Amino acid sequence: MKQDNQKDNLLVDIRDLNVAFFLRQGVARALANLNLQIKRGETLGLVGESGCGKSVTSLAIMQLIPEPGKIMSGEIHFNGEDLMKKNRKQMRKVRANSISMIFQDPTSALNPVLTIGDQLTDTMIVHQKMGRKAAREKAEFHLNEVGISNPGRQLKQYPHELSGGMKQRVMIAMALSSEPDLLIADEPTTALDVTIQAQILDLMLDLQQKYNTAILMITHDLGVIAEVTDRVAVMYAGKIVEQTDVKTLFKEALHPYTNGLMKAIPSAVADLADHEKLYTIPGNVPTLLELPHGCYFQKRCHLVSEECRSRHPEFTERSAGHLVRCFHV
Amino acid sequence: MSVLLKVNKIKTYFPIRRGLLQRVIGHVKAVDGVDFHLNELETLGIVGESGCGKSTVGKTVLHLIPPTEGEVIFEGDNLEELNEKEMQQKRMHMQMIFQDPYMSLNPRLTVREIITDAPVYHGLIDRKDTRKLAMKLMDFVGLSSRQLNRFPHEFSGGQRQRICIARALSLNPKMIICDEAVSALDVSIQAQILNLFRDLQQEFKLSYLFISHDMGVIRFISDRVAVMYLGRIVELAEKKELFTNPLHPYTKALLSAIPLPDPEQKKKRQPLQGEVPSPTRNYPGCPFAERCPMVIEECSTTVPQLTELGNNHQVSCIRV
Repeated sequence: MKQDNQKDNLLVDIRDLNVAFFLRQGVARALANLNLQIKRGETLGLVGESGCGKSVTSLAIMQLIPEPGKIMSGEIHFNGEDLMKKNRKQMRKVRANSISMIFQDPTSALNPVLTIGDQLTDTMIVHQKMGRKAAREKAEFHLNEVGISNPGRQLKQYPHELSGGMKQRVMIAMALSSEPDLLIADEPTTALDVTIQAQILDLMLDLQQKYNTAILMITHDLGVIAEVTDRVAVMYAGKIVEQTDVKTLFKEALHPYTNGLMKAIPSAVADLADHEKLYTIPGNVPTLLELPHGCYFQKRCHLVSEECRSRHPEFTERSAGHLVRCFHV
Repeated sequence: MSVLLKVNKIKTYFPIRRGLLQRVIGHVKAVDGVDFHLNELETLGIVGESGCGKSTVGKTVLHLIPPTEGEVIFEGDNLEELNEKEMQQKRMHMQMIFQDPYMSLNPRLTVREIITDAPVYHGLIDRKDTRKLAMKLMDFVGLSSRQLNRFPHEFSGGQRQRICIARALSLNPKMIICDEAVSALDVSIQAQILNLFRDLQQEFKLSYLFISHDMGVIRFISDRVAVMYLGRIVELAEKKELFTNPLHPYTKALLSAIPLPDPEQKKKRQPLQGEVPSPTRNYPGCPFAERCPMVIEECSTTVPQLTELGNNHQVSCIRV
């Protein structure tokens, strides 16, 4: 395990990050003054609906924002170093050794023309300067760790020979092979069935314990959030609207958007009264091209007032570690 | 309550062909002997994991894929025995809504054309009345009639699904098969569409066959629920009964695997080991046997039948 001589146990510290995409139709502000901290070994959940900026946040940490997107300003401190100041070669090193990522769709994240073994060992050979044989042994060890019972055989197989759940296990093995400080998991179980999802989530938590890896868990599923995270940030239209520890979030969420999201999910454990309707948040998510003046949630909010239309609410602390962006709660 | 749809022991097999002569070397048994009925004004939820055959059941009911064996009886007529013309008439009463509202709308047609082409084709309305009908349907599904002449790409995912619903309603159907109809939508939009489905059911006197992998959605929308595994129904019961008193070990595992939105209750899950086996194999016994925590020797030799245990609760397991 890597040693850290940090004064504090802050692993990631994002300050005033602005990301914009320059499209033909205009400038889309994907992230606006984003502040986010991840501590060592903790699991931070990032929740929100499509287009709210969850994935852009993770890509910004990796410095992998695709064209025509650009990081406009801000700082991203990782292990005490500002990633924005690193050049391509240095950044490549960080990505190889300290940050790993798993994606929603393991099928498109794996190269179909290389065997599992080649894909697992390549990074070890290049970045950790391991010999082919040693890399292969290490790959077998990691496959075993993610619950693949016959790793020797699996290494010779191609991705199409494996099921979705197996491929995601391979992705996790690959991500953990460098023993990273931070694992970014972007909807890692969304494409999987519930019984397989349960297996994969348990596996991720076990391995986190073992390697003391911090996990940034990006998901839209509040069930997954409740089950695996320590702290949660809720995003809406490129801004974090609420941030707190997971227990507080589910007990006393304050922001009307967070509350709406929670009430809108049909429950698998309780019935509504006969003919009772699901709670809905009216309207649609605003497009990032034409965000309203003032609070971004104003058009869908039942608490909206004159103040919300004229200026943007600050992100303020209500109790220890519980931050909310709203005038009315 | 009268029965609208009756499905008798349907099997849908897809042949696997290999080699130069394309000889059939086996079958994918997507649906392997499924039995159920759907009452008027009722919603039957079909739930299961990917590859369990729930979508194939939907398509087989419509005879988009004719069953290999068994029969589908809709409004008292066996669909097998209808000729092409009669089948067309029948299809007006049974519509389908798919998962991906981006793929199931023709990008070159305006919303008005999408919604009204079918009723014009079937002679339900005159071509000059399409505007009126389109406006009425748009209103029902919560879209503005000003958007009538727009194209699908100008709408968001939730709005597109509303267009798909309007199109399905345009022929005054009796039954709509919803195949993962809300799975691609965001939570806040999903709730809107689910409520819409409920409202329309009363308004149009509809029956739904609601196919989904999401237990929460199924619990909200269904009256009765069928749980499928490897092409068969393993449990079928009233919604309340199924969720509060699941009997089949697979249903129990499925329910316990759902992550609950409550961090205080980090329950000790008992996740199923292994994965869903291949539907191409022949099972001498229960297809769930190799993953089942309650397995006994008899399970590998006896094929369990869906048996009524009273209270309209049917289970296919020899251990319960």
